[in-house]
Amino acid sequence: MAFEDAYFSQRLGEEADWKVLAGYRIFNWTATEAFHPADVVNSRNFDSNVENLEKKGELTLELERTLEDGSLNFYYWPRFEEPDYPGKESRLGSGIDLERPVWIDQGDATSNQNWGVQYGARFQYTLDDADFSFHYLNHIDRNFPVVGTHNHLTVGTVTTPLELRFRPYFFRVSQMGGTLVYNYQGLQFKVEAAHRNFEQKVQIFDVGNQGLRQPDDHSEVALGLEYGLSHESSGAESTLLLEYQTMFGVSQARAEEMSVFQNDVLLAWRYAFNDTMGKELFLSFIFDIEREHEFLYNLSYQQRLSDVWKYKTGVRIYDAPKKKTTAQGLELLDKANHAFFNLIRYF
Amino acid sequence: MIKCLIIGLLGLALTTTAYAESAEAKGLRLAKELEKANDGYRGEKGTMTLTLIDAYKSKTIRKMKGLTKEVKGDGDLSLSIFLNPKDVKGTKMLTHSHKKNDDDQWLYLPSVRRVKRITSRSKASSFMGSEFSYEDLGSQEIEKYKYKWLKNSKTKKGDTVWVLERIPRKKSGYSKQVLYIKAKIHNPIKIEYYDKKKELLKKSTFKKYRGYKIGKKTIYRPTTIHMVNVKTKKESIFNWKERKVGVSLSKREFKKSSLK
Repeated sequence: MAFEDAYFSQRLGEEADWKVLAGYRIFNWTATEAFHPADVVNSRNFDSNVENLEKKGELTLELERTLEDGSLNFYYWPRFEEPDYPGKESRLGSGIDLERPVWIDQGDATSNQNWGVQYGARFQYTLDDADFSFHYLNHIDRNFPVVGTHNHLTVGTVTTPLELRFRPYFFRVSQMGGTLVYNYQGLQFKVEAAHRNFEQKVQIFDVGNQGLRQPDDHSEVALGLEYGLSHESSGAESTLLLEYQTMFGVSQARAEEMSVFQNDVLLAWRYAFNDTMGKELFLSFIFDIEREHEFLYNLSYQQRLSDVWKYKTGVRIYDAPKKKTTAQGLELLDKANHAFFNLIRYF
Repeated sequence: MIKCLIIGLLGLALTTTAYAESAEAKGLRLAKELEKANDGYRGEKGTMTLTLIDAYKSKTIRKMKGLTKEVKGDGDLSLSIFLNPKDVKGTKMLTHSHKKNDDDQWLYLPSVRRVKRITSRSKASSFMGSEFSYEDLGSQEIEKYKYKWLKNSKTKKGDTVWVLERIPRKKSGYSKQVLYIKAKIHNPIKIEYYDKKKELLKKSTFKKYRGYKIGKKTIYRPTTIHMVNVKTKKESIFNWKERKVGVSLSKREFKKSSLK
């Protein structure tokens, strides 16, 4: 069982600009639809859609200062929430069950204790037609694990693992980043970026890549463009989306190992029927502009059935055949094609 | 004598022409009268239902809470919070209106815990599947339109109605709107919305006005606004269940950060 949102919040005085919040919380710091470099606080359920992974609540103590046109938030997270990984039978898994993760903090590569110090701050502001935010985080990263073992022996140039284990290692990271959403002439421009410095330089034997690895310091930038248009004859509306994400500061080969979307483009179309049943069609296509033949197609449809029931159905196609010995990025999901039908009951 | 009369009539004609108010000037003057009559309401809160009716007369009813705060020198602040049904519960729309610039509007979607800025193009789009667009729910500040008085008419009860045309100065989903203003209460009883092809797109009617005493002034608010899309035959009805006008609201309730 995982908590999503379960918190208590209190304003410090009737007219005060300070608010305190404590409990489990899901954050959404993203500006874009498919690529989320700034939105990294929560652990994810990796057994879900790769471009919008489900989030798990994070135990949070938050202090918020309301400003004239924005806010300043300070965060403390005492617990490292474990991500959920697909099991070996899952269509989105890699055929193995991962072990309990190890949190590499203060150079220690043996701790699987979930408690420790994580903190951050975020400043949000609105200026005319633009919303922007900046953040700083010092926490245990949950997005760039190295899977393998820290027990290895190097003789000359050859490194040999002393055990065969599939254990995710997560590293402490300092992240600075931000978002910008700007409306101009009916278009919406979006920028989302983050730079990450991994603090501990501990080498892990990566079983997938058969070599020593550690998460490398890097930057990620996502750019987005949104255009909406109304269909007056039907009352429906369309939203067209174009997004791009890239990585800086690491080699192409390393970027491919670290991220599914290291140089990718999203094209999407959302068609809202704007009727009483809330019918909506969404079509998206993500492709890698650096690596050949890596495509992710998604078609989904949702509508209400009543005031408390809704369904969502669709199909997802992963077309990314393995090019080298080890599958990288989207190749890990190649042929994990599936159709889905979700029935949702609101309480 | 005749010469004097001719000169006199000519003088009168010239004077009348010089002081005759153009349709544009009269339109603007009446719009300013409307604004003045509705100024000073301070704040407003209430609950309302939004009924969506499709072309086959199938209905969906949504319950909302609405807050509006008057801002001196700029557009107003407003917040709508969906209370029911369950699938949209917690959805919030925040509008910061401006006199000259485009309004800032944000939608909070509780399912993804995301505050999304609405694009100015989307302002012509439907608000939560209704026939009201984001633009309809934004501010109707005088500075955003060019006004023209078209004619005066009468209601069935004989009350004077000013018919004004207003053309948006900036990007809008409409080419023009025609307002039917009941002079006695300085508020519209009907608005016709014309699309970009200058064809009638929607009609809204404002019913059951109620007066709210604020100091020495009485401000009128409709209990029902009924919007009909003449092209799609779909309808939407806002119906206020309870409303307080003249209330004092904190500016903090209208911050983007308080949407979450």
